[in-house]
Amino acid sequence: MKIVAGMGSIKDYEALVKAGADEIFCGYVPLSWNETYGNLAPLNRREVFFYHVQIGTISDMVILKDMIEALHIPVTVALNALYYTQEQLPRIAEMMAQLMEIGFCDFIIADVGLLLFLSHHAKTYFAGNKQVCRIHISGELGEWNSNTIKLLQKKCFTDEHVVCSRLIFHRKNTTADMKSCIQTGKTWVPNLTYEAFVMNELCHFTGGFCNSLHCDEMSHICQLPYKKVPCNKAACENIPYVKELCGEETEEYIGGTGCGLCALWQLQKVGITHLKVVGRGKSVQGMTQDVQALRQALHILAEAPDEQAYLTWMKQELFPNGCSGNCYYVK
Amino acid sequence: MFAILHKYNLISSISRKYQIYFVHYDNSHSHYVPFDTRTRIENYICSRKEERYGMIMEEADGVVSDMPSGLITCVVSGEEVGIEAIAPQYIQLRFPKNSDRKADKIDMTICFLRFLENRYERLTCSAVTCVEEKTTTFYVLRTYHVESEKYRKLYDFVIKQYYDYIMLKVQSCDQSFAESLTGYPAKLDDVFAQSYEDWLQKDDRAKGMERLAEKVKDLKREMPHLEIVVSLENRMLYQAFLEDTLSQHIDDRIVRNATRYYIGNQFCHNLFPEKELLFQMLEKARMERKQVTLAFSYLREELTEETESLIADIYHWCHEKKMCVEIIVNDYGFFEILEGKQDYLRLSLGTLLNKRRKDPRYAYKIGASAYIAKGKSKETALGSNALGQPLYQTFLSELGIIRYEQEACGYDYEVKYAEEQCSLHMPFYQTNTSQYCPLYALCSHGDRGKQQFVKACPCYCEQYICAYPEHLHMVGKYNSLMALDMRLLATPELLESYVQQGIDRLVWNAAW
Repeated sequence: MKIVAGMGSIKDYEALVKAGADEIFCGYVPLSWNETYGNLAPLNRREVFFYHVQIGTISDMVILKDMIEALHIPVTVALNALYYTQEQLPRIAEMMAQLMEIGFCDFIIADVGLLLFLSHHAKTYFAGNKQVCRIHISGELGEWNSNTIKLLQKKCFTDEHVVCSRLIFHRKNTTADMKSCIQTGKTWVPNLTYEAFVMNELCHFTGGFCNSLHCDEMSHICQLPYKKVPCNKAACENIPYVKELCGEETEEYIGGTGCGLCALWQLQKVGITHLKVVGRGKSVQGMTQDVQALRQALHILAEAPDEQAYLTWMKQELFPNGCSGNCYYVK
Repeated sequence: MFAILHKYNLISSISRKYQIYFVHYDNSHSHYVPFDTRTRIENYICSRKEERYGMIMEEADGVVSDMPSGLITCVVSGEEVGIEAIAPQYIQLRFPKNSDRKADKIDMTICFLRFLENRYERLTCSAVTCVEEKTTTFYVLRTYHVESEKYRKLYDFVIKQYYDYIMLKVQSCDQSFAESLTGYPAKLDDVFAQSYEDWLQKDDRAKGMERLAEKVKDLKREMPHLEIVVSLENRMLYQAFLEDTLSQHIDDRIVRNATRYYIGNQFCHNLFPEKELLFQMLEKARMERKQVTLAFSYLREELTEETESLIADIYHWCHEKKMCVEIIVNDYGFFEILEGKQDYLRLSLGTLLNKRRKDPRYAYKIGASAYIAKGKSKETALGSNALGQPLYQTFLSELGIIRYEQEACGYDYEVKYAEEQCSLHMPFYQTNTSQYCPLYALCSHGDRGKQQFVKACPCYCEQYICAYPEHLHMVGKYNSLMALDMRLLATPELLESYVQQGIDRLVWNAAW
């Protein structure tokens, strides 16, 4: 399985590669987009200005391409907003065509409407490019099931210039469901790849069904304080409210905000090919630690004779003092 | 606070403008002493010791490096270029190695964000001289001398804006930073209702819902074709429906005027009625000559087979009784199951697939709040969503969608684009949903984050909700977060505008 790491700045590329990432994903949001839409209609799921979460200029993308040619670790561009408006679709397609001219041909997309637009207008935007446009379908699209895969196959990839190359499972998929979906996927594209979340930002709500704000000026809705209260007045108890730490970094543990290392054996078994380490905007020191830990876990996975041996060995090496308990894949 | 600085890699960015001395409290000497090296600072932060510490800053050479591109970007010859660093009289740009910008003097436009005004300002500097060129492994850094009072002011503004934001975030332990930036009432964030019953009965909500129900009744009288719908979305309501006691849970004006029932829950797979109960309700509705819409949620892979079987049974019932029912589709995988059954099963696009930006805090959102307050949100990116895409409309139409389920969510937007009919859900709207129920996790494990997929659910949602700060008018209901459209509750006349725009069905989703 390969490690896919999130990157918020081209300056982090080298460090992530050296740490052991096999693939990197980033966001690209040009000034023209920000000038028109601000962060009211973000181009991807990082919706802030005050942090290094996007590559913001085309010249930096050219520099990134030079880095890729030197260090040979590919980069995918995230265009995974839950939806776009009709006005935005041609702008996005033009931007993708520009990026493909530079050499970026892999894109993470969540909006079915954008998929339809790209397939329908592929000849306009991509026919001049020797490479095909490869789409990683994001888990932010909604729920994953075999029927959805079949529908996407039938309706959303109707032009040879735009192909599906990966399915990215969302955070709330079980390994059993992944296995079933992967079996369906193989009947569509035999060499389709499959990605699962494995580290950081275990959100309490499903990304594809999260319509709320993730902006600079207010915290995420899942970080607001709340209180469990009874429905009936008569059953009131004196329960203190909770100030949620969902998403906040817990530096004490690797993958402190979400970890799936215990599930690596199962993920490999069901056919997952890529492991996502979330973290655009996270410090590069933190990300390199996460990637290194995952690399170490994969090494153990390769050497361990069975699942129990893997778990024991991995926990001993990476979590000698215990882990965060924020498990992506609870059995 | 330093964990946040460290996490977001902000230290290097501001430390060159101000020489930062991090200090910690030395218990043995009862005063603050500085850390001697940056490495020790980061190690200290990572260890998260609970000791007192602070920060002293002295203005240094004024160079600030590596600011996020969303805050400041440079355009040279029509192309955006990364800014490596800025100083009061210099700007250092980052070019690809193969770029052909060898000229010693160039024209540049610096674009910087005025965050609180939600706009970019541009400053053009002509014939700026390159004073230094440095080649790194992957790019070329060219430093330009900018002798300009306007540039100096731009620099001061950009640095102050960035620095002020960092300090606000670092010094806030709650929503006080949101209060400083937007006026969000952070001090009210620790005021909660003690029960859902209390929450519903709060004056502004209870009276608002009464006014809204009265308006629904009036509209129905004026427009008999307008469908009024009661949403039955949990076991308590299913039972109440069968026992004819719905008025104990839902405003009687809605119940009496309802011509259709929505049965099922768009957000939670566990709240759809079991088969026997479902067909009892279908039969009762049929006897009452009321129409039915069945609301399905997302389709989990492991539940596909049993859902297919259920749909087959529903279709068979419809065929037998010669009655059509509507199906709300909240999963793309559902279309496969429904294929070929549209003679009796009419399809509507549900809330989970009709994605829209929704949050009760849009009233504070920079760039949106002013438009929403003036009723001009349609002029912003909030005014439209994927339903405005013709290809997507055609895609849905070809799959059999004849209706869209919309929500009243606190601001105006285009509700109708094509020939499809539109319903309006109110007064609650959904903001977040999780297939792994957070309420179940909270009740079972004491931690909302300890989530797993639940099939045999004890329905904790019948006993508990998550109350959020009162001023947000939001609750954690079932596996979702739902907020009340207080704008609609305050001004029920807005319903007329929705109807004029093409809403032909009002779906009431508030119940006690």
